[in-house]
Amino acid sequence: MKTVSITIDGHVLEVEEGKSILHAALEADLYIPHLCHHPDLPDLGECRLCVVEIEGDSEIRTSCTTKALDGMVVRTKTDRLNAMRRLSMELMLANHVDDCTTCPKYLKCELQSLIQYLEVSTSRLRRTLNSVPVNTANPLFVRDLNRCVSCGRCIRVCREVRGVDVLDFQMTQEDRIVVDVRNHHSMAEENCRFCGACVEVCPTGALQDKEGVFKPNLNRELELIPCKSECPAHTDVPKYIRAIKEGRYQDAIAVIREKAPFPHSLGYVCMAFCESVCRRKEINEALSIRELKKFAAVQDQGLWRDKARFKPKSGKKVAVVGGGPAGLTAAYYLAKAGHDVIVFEAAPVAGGMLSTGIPEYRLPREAVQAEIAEIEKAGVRILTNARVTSLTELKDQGFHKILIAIGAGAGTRLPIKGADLPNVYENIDFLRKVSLRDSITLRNSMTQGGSVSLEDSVSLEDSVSPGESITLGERVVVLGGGNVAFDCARSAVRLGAKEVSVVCLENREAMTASEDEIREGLEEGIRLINGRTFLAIEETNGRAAGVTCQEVASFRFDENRRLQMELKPHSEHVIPADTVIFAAGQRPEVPEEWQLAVGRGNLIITEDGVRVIVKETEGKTVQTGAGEENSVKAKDLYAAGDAVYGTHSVIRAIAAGRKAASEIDLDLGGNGDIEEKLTEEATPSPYLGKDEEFLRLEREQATEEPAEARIMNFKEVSHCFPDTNACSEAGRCLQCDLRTQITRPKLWVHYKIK
Amino acid sequence: MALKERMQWKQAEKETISDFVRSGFDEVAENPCPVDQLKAFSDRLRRTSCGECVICREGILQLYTLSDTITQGIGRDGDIDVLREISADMVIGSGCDYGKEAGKYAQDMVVKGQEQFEKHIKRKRCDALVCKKFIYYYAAPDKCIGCHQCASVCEPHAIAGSEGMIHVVDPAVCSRCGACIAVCEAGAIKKPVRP
Repeated sequence: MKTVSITIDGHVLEVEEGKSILHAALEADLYIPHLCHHPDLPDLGECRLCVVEIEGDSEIRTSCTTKALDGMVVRTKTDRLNAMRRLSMELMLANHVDDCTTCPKYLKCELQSLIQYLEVSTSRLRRTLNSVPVNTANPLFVRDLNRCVSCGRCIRVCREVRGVDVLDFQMTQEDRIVVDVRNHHSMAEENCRFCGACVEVCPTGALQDKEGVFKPNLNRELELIPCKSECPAHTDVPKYIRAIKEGRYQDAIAVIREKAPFPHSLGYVCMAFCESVCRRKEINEALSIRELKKFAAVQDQGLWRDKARFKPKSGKKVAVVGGGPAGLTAAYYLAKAGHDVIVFEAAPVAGGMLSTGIPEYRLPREAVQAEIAEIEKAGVRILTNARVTSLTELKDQGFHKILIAIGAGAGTRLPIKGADLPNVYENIDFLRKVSLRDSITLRNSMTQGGSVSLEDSVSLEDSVSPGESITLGERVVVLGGGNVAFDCARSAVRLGAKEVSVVCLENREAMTASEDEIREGLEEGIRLINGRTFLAIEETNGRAAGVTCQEVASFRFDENRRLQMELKPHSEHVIPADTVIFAAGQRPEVPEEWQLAVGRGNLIITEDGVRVIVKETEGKTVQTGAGEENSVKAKDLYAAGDAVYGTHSVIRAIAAGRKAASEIDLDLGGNGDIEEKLTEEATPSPYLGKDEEFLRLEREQATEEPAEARIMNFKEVSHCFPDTNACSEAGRCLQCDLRTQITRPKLWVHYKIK
Repeated sequence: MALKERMQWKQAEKETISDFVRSGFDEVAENPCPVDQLKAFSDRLRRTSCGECVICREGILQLYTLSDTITQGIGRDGDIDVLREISADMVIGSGCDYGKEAGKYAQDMVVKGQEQFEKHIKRKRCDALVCKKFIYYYAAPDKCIGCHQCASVCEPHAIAGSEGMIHVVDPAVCSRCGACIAVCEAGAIKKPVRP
């Protein structure tokens, strides 16, 4: 590298040859005012704020477009230059609205910062503002030409960096030059890619993101990549979507695996919070992120294993109580951190809700089992049929730390007459019995895939699982409007029930069940009855015969979170049923003897989402059932998952498991770092190019089994994308992450020499 | 909406630019009022700037806006300094010859016409009788024959009077279009400058 020596305002700088004077100065922390210059863009010298005088040169030069040459002596702050800068600023401001305080860019505005630095006002000049309405016509950006100073940064980034070339200087009818979309079209008409680069480089409030597109976040990446921030585990969604688009499927699965050990399961059942904030939905529909995740998981050849990080053995032992996604995730990362981990699972099969809650037609058990096997491969020992009753006994087995990840496994019955009749069931109990039968079939004969045939389905005699058997009638009524209600109802359909109804308080729009669940359920013949409250379960010959309901005109929750309903008078009626299933939420079953502080809904109270609080504070100890006071101290107890925050999603459980693993590792003397890099770090290309089809691309739909066929068995309903569909769906991504590559310019206050 | 092509001076030859700017000046060269001349010149040139550099795009526009307000009789003290500063900065600071050349002509008009600029601003007077705002039409009572022709062609209805009567022009309403002068056979409508 050849360097030249230049002097700027008396400071002698060694500069790489070929750099501009401005570049050299800014690099040396020496401020020269500038506005149209942006560190990532080619310089044109349009704003003329960066003017300098060079000894021996009679002309005034713009320092951004003048190369530093050996021996140059440059002055940047003479009276003449300052006067020129002020005039340039005044001219821009004459053509700019002056209500800074109402501007969304207030205090983040480069122009405002310059006004401060140059101490200018517009009073000498005449206003030349050409008032135009603020343009909010496109789905993602607000364009306010009244705040535009025509610096052209948006034009350059769109043309030079993205290769999309949507914006340009345009002539108005009054022969004024403004920055506008080419041909005065809408952004969509000129095939804008909606990458947001123009907004990112705009120094003023002329280009803004529409309110609500991003949630304010101090972390710039999380603010600008909504899918990533909305994912509880902060999965790098755009990165794996890009890998799929480019056919790098092994990279895609590795990226997902960096944050979650259940990618395939998530591909089936993730609640996909990412999709709900996907910016693409403002254009047509959100990206089909979950389906793409499933696709990547199906392609998995396990190459990521080579990069997986295992720390040396620590000699510390951790017990995880509960083998659901939270517990297994924590166990996985703890094992990788070098600890000896044993998972205690009460059920005959590990996986928690993945194995015994979510029905098999939604989540094939092979997928779950394969992912659990991977966790075991990492060194985790899983004991099934191993219900933990005493934490003290566990501690006595030599575990240094205990993580309680018992989930929310108890169904709740509403306190109405007839709720405890024999043919009235709880959601979770019902699903567990349906599932365990399948799981066991799967366990014993891995190849058959375990489906329930019609002949033996009506009476579900459960010989394996202890407890009473479930006898399913022909008319099943499910009380509740969430996904679990649909799991029960759709399972009942598959078990051969003739008439299945889902009855819930909410109207159709307010239901918590996902749209897909509702749609698929209706396709399968489920009757949906909205806006009902349940008064009693009718009894005939000691068995439930129907549910007495009343119509609800409206309802709300008061400040104490109590339900307030307005009922329609004289609207009581009975929905006949021979099987009633309560699907009105679940709660954790926390044994009294554990002495854990629990709150509303029996949720375990924690200090920071992880560390539990033991009830009796004296001595901070846990008493066992026998009353002997001993050894398990609160500092060795942790909790994670549904047991802490109530029923939620698999991905939140995974995120909670990761957090717990990190905290426990810290407390065991590790550094708490569970992050892994399972792919080669590659900077994505900032170039997007022109694509006339891009905005028109519709969301790919996964193919589904027809309803008539799928109600016959528990086989998976929705099929994975084929390669071509996956790639084209991935191509719909707006690549919001590219925007984070763009440098945020420093303001004058950040420079040492101003 | 028809699209208007934007000029691209940055790639143009020096000579092409100076020819273009000179032709812009030639169009207004005969204008006897330097303020109106600058207004017409800058109005013409602002429309053909490529618009990329601030000093040229906003500078010429400001020259136009300032000179226009001066011809409207609402010029302020200090306007001349601003005009001089802008045109001088255009000469030394423009990105290409378009702004530099335009700046030179503008600077010349302001410097040479300084006295007229001052009269427009301070005394609301245009010696060349070009700036209509400073011209007050009236019907000379000794010449008016009361034919009412002037009132019937006056679009803003600024002339009062009926047939046989001496007519009166209301300067607050008069648009200085000159239609009345053209129809007055008696030659009664005059436009002297108010002293």
